[in-house]
Order: sequence, then structure tokens, then C-alpha cells
Amino acid sequence: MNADTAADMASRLTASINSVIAGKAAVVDVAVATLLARGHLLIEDIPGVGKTLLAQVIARSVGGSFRRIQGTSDLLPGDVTGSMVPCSINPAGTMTSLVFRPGPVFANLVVFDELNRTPPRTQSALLELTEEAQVSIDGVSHPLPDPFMLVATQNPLDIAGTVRLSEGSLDRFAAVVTPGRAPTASEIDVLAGRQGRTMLDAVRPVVSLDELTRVQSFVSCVHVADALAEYVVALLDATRRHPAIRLGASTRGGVLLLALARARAAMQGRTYVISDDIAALAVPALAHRIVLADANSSLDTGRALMTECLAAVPPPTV
Amino acid sequence: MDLTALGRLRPAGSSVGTFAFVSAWFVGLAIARLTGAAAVVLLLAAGFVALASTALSSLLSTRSVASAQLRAAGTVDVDTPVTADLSIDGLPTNGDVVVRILSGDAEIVRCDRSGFDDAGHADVSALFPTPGIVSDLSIEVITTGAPGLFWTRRRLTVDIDPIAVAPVPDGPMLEITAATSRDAGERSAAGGRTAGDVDGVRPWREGEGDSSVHWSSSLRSRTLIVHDRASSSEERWTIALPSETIDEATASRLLFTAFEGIRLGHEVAIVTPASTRILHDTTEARSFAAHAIGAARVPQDVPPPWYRRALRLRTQHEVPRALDPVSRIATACSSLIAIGMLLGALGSGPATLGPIALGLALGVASSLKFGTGSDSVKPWRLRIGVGTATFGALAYVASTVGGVSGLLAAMRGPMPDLLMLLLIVHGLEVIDQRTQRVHQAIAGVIVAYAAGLRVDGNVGWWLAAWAVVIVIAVRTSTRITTPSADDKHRRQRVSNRRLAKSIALAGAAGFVTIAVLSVVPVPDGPARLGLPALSNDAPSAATPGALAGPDGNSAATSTDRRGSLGQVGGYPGFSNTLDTSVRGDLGDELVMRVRAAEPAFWRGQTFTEFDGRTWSVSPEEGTRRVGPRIEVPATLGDLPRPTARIETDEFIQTYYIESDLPNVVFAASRPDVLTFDGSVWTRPDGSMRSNVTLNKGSVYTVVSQRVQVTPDLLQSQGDIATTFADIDNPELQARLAPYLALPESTTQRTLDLAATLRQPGDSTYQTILRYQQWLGENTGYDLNAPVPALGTDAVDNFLFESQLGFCEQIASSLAVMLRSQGVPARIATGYVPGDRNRVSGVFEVKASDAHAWVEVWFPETGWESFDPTAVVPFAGDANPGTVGGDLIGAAISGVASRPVEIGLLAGLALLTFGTIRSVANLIRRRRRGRWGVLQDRFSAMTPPSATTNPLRAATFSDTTHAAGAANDLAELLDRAAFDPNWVDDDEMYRSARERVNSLL
Repeated sequence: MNADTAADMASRLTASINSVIAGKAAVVDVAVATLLARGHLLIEDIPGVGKTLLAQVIARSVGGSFRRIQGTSDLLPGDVTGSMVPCSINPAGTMTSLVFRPGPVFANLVVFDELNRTPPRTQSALLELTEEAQVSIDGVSHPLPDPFMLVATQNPLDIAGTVRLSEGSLDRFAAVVTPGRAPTASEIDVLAGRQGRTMLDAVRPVVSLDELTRVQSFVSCVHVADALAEYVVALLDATRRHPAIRLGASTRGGVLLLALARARAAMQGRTYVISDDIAALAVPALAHRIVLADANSSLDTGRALMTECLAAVPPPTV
Repeated sequence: MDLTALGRLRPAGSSVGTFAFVSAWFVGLAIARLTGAAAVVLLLAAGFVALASTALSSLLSTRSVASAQLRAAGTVDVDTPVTADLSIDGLPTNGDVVVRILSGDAEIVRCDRSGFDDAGHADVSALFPTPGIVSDLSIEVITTGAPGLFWTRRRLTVDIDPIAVAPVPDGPMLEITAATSRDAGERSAAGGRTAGDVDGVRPWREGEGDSSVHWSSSLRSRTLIVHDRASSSEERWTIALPSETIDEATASRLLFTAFEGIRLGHEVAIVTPASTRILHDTTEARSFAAHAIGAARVPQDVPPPWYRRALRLRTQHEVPRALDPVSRIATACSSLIAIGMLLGALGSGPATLGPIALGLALGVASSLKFGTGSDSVKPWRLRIGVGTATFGALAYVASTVGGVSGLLAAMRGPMPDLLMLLLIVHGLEVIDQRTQRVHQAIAGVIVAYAAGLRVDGNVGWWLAAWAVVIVIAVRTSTRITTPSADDKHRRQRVSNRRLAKSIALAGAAGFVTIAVLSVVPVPDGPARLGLPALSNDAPSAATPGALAGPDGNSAATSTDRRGSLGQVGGYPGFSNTLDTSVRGDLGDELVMRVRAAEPAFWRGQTFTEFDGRTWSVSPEEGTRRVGPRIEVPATLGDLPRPTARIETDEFIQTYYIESDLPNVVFAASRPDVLTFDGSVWTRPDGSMRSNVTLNKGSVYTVVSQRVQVTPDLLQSQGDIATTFADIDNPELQARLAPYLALPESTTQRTLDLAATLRQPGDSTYQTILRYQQWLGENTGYDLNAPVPALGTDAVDNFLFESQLGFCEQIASSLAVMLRSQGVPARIATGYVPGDRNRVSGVFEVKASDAHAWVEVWFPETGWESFDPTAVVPFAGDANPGTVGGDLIGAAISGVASRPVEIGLLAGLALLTFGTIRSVANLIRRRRRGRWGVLQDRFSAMTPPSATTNPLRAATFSDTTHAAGAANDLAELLDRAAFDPNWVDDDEMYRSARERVNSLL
């Protein structure tokens, strides 16, 4: 595995996704970087702009198991993680025992649709599995398959019937992207059937799980110069000092940002991260982690503030 | 190229205060005419080129406008501001910019540069005045060049996506009275005939007479049918207004109502208690509404006053801005230089400059404190005060000035004081662009004034210093005072290119100035109105009409008391006797400055009698004439008036005496009018003596009628000896006889030499040339020539014994030789022209320029100067030259006279510049490393909004070459910064550096 093969794999993956998702190359890049960085992705947008489609096409492009959970207000943690169910252990059925029945998260790629429609309980059930890639039921830990990626979608908070994700849950996601409406030309392509859901069936896995795992390990080895680590720290610090931000970005945010930057470097065939990687990913990786002083502000405000912080810290050069 | 799409370029008038510069230029022209100073001409030419180039710069800056576009919503309401996106490709980067968008003749948007971003986009608020569909708009880009003096506009007509302008939807109509003037035929015209045209038929109505009955139809239908007649008038809507003024809301409703009426084709009349007005179209309606509101909401409907239109002063383009401190301070410095220059001309010391500088500094402080840039502060009281004081003082001066000497006294006395006072007081009033330019223009007038008065050698330096400062002041006056970060960066990015461009432009302007000057002749002297003359409390001559030394004592005949030898002006040629064996040590002191168009001999005295060693002046004292204006009578041999064959020209010289001199009045031959503050004895030999000595500071002017002598003219007069013998005029013979007398001591070998050198058939002119040639070949010029032994003939001694001598001996020899051949000759003493100062155009005469030469009488052209030792061209051959030619000559001779020093200095400057640069580079490289330096150069090329190298590279997308190079460079720089496997490779560094250079 070297930089070129990683870049090659990434470009295959990107091309495959772009063949379905119309006109959102930047979002797709972030999504692929998240996949390579072993992170989880949250797609936030209004209904009908292809959130689920994006999640699905990522899943299909990677040859692995794929499950989908539809978030509803009565969804319980057990419905997601799986639960202990009684099961007869002798043929007569007189002796039963509680057996763990894995939930839908036991797959390489899990699409959690409308995450913020589920009650906070269920949202919290994701905390462990996103961080540690395992599910603990009754004191027994059940590891999730490797690789594992959660792609969740959520509607903007002002849409009825939504529950705000807790800061902790949000913090677990490596990146939050907002695809937005496609440009006119791409929208025409979607309506004409040249792109979009109609093409989903044509998507074949372009990356094997094995290959993906190797790229993921390669990504974790991409070099980060000290100056760039300092740059990330300075960025985090800027979010913590900004007057309009109540709570700055977490250290995990910094770690995940660097992971994403590594992935982006690998995607471009580099074995080292450059400042541009960090600058390009800082907003999707950090904007959702900052808690704003104004409680009613949306994620867009967070992005604007993050852009401000980004502009305030000069990136390192030679 | 589609010219209509590019629009037309045309001047749109001048900026505020430009008129002041133009006026100052014309005042300068008057000063140049009055004083005849070459330095003022130089200033005027440079000013002309500067004004022309600012106009050109304005014209050129609009050339960059390539296209413009306006995007707005498809449907807008009339008179309601809507946001539109205006983008202009190639918005000028220099000076003020005003963009107007016109729909028809109505202006819908006006904005200035501050609204536009880097890419030339602006969000503007547009106001469409008339309902309808707008599908094309005129976009006018009006701009000044960098100096901001002249406006040029370019109008582009652009097709836009049609915008439907809807009438105000919620504006209820005002109450109207609709009346149709369509009559039914009952009205009669004056002649009793029914009015109107027959328009058809209709049934009879009650009360109609039988004259309108249409009988044939009536019979056919068996009812009464009448002619239907209609007048040509239409329906009229009358809107009654309670008063002349209305509020905004009513105005809006009024407009709506009027538009509706006009749209329906009715006549709309507005009736107020005072007047009735018919509105024919929407423009009139808007104009009426605007007037009624009392606000200039529609400025284009209010025509500017006639004088504004006449002068095309489009002041409404001006972008109000606060005064720039740099510009204001530079302006004050220019004022200080101007005043310093004038003080120098008046002879005041630098001590006076202190309070003046303080006054100017006060002005700067007040300007920077109160100069808001807006028109809100109008110190009219101050203006009226200053204006009244100035004009009052000028009127006082005008009333007290009488005659020629009065004018000069005023020019040196109260006038400059007033000008300086005006400048200092005006400094307090400088609050905006206009007043600042007026201030600069006043300073310019003062500089021209001083350049006209000053005759010293420093004028050039003063002018150069003032020019540099004023250029800075004008150039910085339009810059953006508080630049944004992007402005700063943009300025920095283009600064190198702009510097090179500015230098090139300055060079071009310099060349054009020289070119203009090279066709402008050196002014031929002050206007006759103001021939300068000034006496300076000089001691009177002890014996009227006699020679007096610089101290006023009689210098009579005794040799030991004639002007003290060894002193300035102590040349023996300015006494009653001229001993050819004495010259004295004259030194290099400046004796006088002479302002004249061409070089000539400045003649003081002539000597007729020669005893073999000493020349004597004729004892007659002549006639006393009282100044200031003195007509000098023609004397023997000086032709009284030009004949058809002999051309004369007027030759004006102004003498500025710089050292105390005797009372000898110098003049170029032949003096015609003398302007002298005192009285003068005009002597029969053509020389003049004044009643006072000419001490330092005296000024007088001589107008000479010079015969345009050329060698051909002299040649054609043949052999004078023959002609003279033929003259059948005993009186003339008798009067010329003294000029033929030979001293008794004249030796035979002298006569032989004169006879031998002369060839038979030679004209006198040829004889003179032969003598001069012989003298040149056989004798040498030596100020330390041995004194002839007592009792010997000086001429003989010089010609045959020592063969070394100075001008007196050489001239005496020539005179004696000519006399021996029957040619009337005499000796003249005075000064050779001296060196001309190339800038002020005056001749600087030093004590050592004192000279003696020979004058030969020609029957037709009179006394003509010949000189074997100094070369002064004949009047007919003298070329007045041009101001530019003089300057170039000065530059060349300046370089040529000190090539080594100038070369060294230039080398040193280059070396210093290079050292500073390289040291700075070294420090930077040491701190940043060589890749760091490359990175800094790359960063400096791109806007600060591009923070990382790939983003920087992305800003070079305009050409593929640059984009590729920038991408490569960005990658290399990032590798150098972040790649752990990076090895600093010279080859790679070189390629990166090449790429950086290629991007510049």
C-alpha cells in the first residue's frame, strides 16, 4: 500500500459516488475522507435533497454489509443495538436462555435516517458504538464488524418533530455536511434520470472491505508535521476564545480533524498533510462541535463562526 | 470590435478646484509676459504638460472598462428601491470612480468606488422612475485618473434581462376631476360657424338650432338628425392640490395618478392655488413632484445653472472624502517652499520663514481637525473676510501704483507680502478637496511670481523641490485615506509595477516637457508695461555728469583715484583714461545679472583718443535726462532708424546689479529707451552716466535697437577707407576725424604690418578678419604680460616685442592698425555676456568678464564690435535659442563638466540602494530560509483571503500557464514545509524560483 494506490482507491470511490450524487463533489470528498478516516458522518439538510441517497451510495460503493435504520419517535435503543431475546436451548423448548440478537448496527455501513427524530435515549445508544465500535448488552461487549461507519442524516432543527442531538452525540461525528440543493444542470440530470436514485442500482462495489481496511490503516500513518498540529491547536484555541462561542471545540474534534486531514492527504496521493487539508476540512469537522452563546442559533451560524476562526489563524508555511 | 457596445469616451468636465490650477496657469502666463523670465516659461511648460497628462490619464483610465452588467429582479415597483447586482469588467483602479445607470435619461443608480469589491461587483439600490418594460440600460462609468483633476465618462448601452416596472400598486389615486371637452356642436366659433369638424350624425337634442340639422338623414329616417361635431381636445384630468408643497405620500400618489392619466393618454393638469400646470409626460410629472416636495430627489431634472453648464463643472461627480493628511502636509510644504522662494527673491532672510512655517502648520492642524470632506461646513464668513481683505488690499495697491517704477515697486513691495499673507490665511480655510486645490494653485502663482523676480542661480533647485512636493500633494489627494486590508494588499501588489509605470510616465512627461520647451523661444524680455528699474539709495555722483567711483567720489582723471583697482568693479575701463599697460586683478565676484534673450557686449564706455599708451574718454558730458523713461538720442554712427536695407530689432536687457559699480550705465548697442530710476547723462559717444552710482540691488532696463548685422551685410559695404574718402559731407568727415587719428608714437613697422596684411581689393570686413587672424597666430593672451618700458609705444611693444598681452593691448593694436588704413575705429569697454544660467535664463556677469574691444564704424550699419579675443556673435547671427535647448545644454554641460563626480555619485547611490536591498534580503533569507523567501513572494502575489498555497494557486486561474506554474509552486512549497521526506534540492529550488518569477 502506498500513496498512489490509496489515491487510486479514493478516486474510484469518489467517481462511483459522484455518478449518482449530482453536483456535490465537495460534499462527496468530505464523505469519502470520513470513511477513510474511520469516522462517522452526519448529513444535515432539508428533506428531499439526497441525504439518504448519499448514505446509500457510499454503502453500495463499498462492498460490505449495509443496514438502514429509520429514525422514528418510538424507536428504542434495543431496536438499534439489538437485545437479549429468550431462546429455547433444548429441542423441547422447556429451557430457555437469553440470547443476544444483534440489531441493525451490526453491519459495515449503517445508515441512520432522520436521527434527530428518535428520542434522546436512542440517540445516546449510539455513543458507545460510534466511539468504541462495540455494543455492550448485559455486560457483554459485542464488537461491531470492521470497518464500521455510521452515516446519519438529520433534518434541520426547525422542522417539526425533531429532537436536538446532545452535544456528546454530535461530538462523535467526524464531520457534518450539508449537501444543499443541487445546481440547476445537475437537478435537470436528476429529473431526467441520468443521475440520482435511478442510477443507484447500477452502483457496484468498487472497493473491497479488505482494501478499505488497508487504506484506512495507511491513512492513519500519514505524516503530520508539528507545525500543523500547532495549527490545529491554534484553531481549537481560537474557537475557545471567540466571544460568540460558549464552548469551544473539543480535543476529540482536533483529533478527528487531523484524521480527516490525513485522509484528504492520502486521497490526493500525499504521504504528508498540508495546511490546506486542515483549512479545507476545519469547517465540516469542527462547526458542529462548538456551542454558541446564542442557544437558538443554527448550524449555519456555527459554520460562519468557524470560518471566522479559520480566517483569524494564519496557516503555517515554510 | 463593436464600438457601440464599448460605448463612447468623452470628457465630462473637471473636478473641483481644477479651475484654480488652470487660472493659476494663466496668471503664470501673465507673469511670464510681464517679467520675461525663462524660469516661469519652464514652469508653465511643465504645468501644461502636467495638466495635459492628468487629462490624458483620466481618458486612459476609462479605457479599461470592457463590459458591464446589471442583474435585478424581473418585476419591480416604480419608485421603490430594489437591490440589483451590478458588475463592471475592468473598473478603473485609479482615482475616483462614479458609476451611473440610466434608463433613458433618468438616473436610476449612482454609486462610487466604495461600493465595489475587488472583482468589480457591487450591490446597488436601483430606483426605476417610470413604469414599463426596461430592456436596455445605459451604464456610465465616470472616472478621473490618478491625479483626480479631470473626469472622463464612458457610456455603455447594455441589454439586460427585461425588467418590468410596475406602477405603485397601493398608491390610491388622488381625487381627479375628469372632463371631456368633446363638444356636441353647439359651441360656435367667432364667425358664427359651428366649431369643430363634422364627425358623424346623431339624433337631435333639446335646444339645438336648425343650422346643425342633417337634412338628408332626417328625411330618410323621419326623425331629426343633426351633425355631430367634435373638437380636437381630449379628456383632461384635473388634480387639485391644496397648496404648493406636498408631502412624500401625496407626492407618490400624485405621481401614480399622473402616470395613470398619462398612460391613458389624457391631459393631466395640476391646479394649485397659485398656478395651473399641464403635465405632458412622466418626466414632467416627476420633476413637478420633486419640486413640490422641495427635495432634489431627481437631480437630473434640475438643470444646473448656466454658468455651471458653460464651464462644464460636473462637480456632482465628486466623492466627498476627508482630506488626506499626507496630501495636506505636502501641500503645506509646497506653500512653504513657494514662500521661501519668494522671500529669497525679496532678499529676506530665513528668520522670516519661521513664523510663516508656524502659520502654515496652524493651517494644517485646522484642516485636519475640521476638514470633513463634506460640504456641510462652509466657512463663508472666513471666506468673505479673506476675500474682502484680499481684494481691498489689491485695490489699494492698484490705486497707489503709478507709472512704471510704481508697478515694479508694487511687484517687489506690497504685492508679494499680500500674496504670502493670502496663502497663510487661506491655509486655515482648507477643508476639502476644492479649497486644497485652490491653496495649491495660489502656491503655484507665488512660485511663478518668485521665479519671475528671482535672477539667482538657485531658481532651478527651488522649482525642482516645489515640483516634487506638489506632485506628491496632488497625487496623494485622491487616494483612499483609510484603506481596507484588501486595498492595502492590492496597493502593495501593484506597487512595484506601478512604480515602474510611474517612472516611465514621469520620464515621458519630462521628454514631452523638453519637447514643448524646445519650441518655446527664450522670452525676449519683460513687457514694455513693466520695464523694471529700481534705485537703491545709492550715493550720488560727486560731480554731476562726471564719472564717479562706487563710493560716489569723482573718479576724475587722476590715475590713482580712478575706481580702486583690485576691487570689484574697479576695472580701469570704467574711468576717464584707460592705460593699456594696466589691467589689475579683477576676481570672480558676481558683478551683475543681465536678463536678455541673447548674448551681447554689455558696453559701458568708449574711448577715442589714444596717445600710444593711454586711451581717454572725450570730455563732453552730454545732456542730462530725467528718468524713469529716457529716450536715448542716436549718436554719431548709430543709425537713427532702420532703413529698408538694414533691419533692426528690439533687444531688451534688464540689468540687476550685484556689486557696487561706478556710475557707468551699461547697455547693449544701440540703446534706444532706458528705464532708470534717476537721471542719466547721455553722451555724444553713445555711453551713458547716471547721477547715482550703481550699487548692489539697483535694477534698470534698456531697450536697444540692434542692427541685424551679418557678415554679408558688412562685406557688402566694401572698403570703408575708400567709401569714407568719397563721402561728400564735411561735417561727418570732421566728426569722424578723431577716430582716424594715430598717436605720434606709432612706429613705422606697425604701419607697415597693417599695410602688408591688407590685400588690395579687400573689403574692410576682410581686412579686419586678416588682422584678427594675424593677431591670433602671432600673439598670445596673457594677463601677466610684461609692462612696456616707459616712453615706448604700447602697440609696437605688443606687436613686435613681447607679443603677449591682454584684451586692452590686443584691441588697441587692432584699432591702431585699422586707423592707419583709414578705417574709423575706437575702443569700447564693458563686459562680455558671461555665463547664462540655464534655468533662470539670465547672464551672470563676473568681475573678470570686464573687457575691452574694438568698435569699427561702418557707413550703413554704424559702430560694430570686433574682438580678437572674445567671441560674441553678430546680432544677425545670434540665435535666441529655446528654453528647452538651454536646459538640455545645461544638463549636458553639467554632466560633461563633472563626469567623474556624477558617475561616482550615481554609482554610490546605486551601491547604497543595492546594499540596503541585499542586506534586507540577507536578513530575510536568514530568518525565513530560501524556501521561506519564495513562500513570502508567492503570498505577496495573491490576495490575503487566500490563506493556503493551493488556494493561492487557485487565484491564478486566468491563464493556464500561470495556473499550472502556481499549482506546481504550491505543491513544492507545501512539500518543503510539511513533507518529512523532503530534501532541500537545488534543482528543485531553482525550478520553484523560476515559477515564482514567471508569475510576476
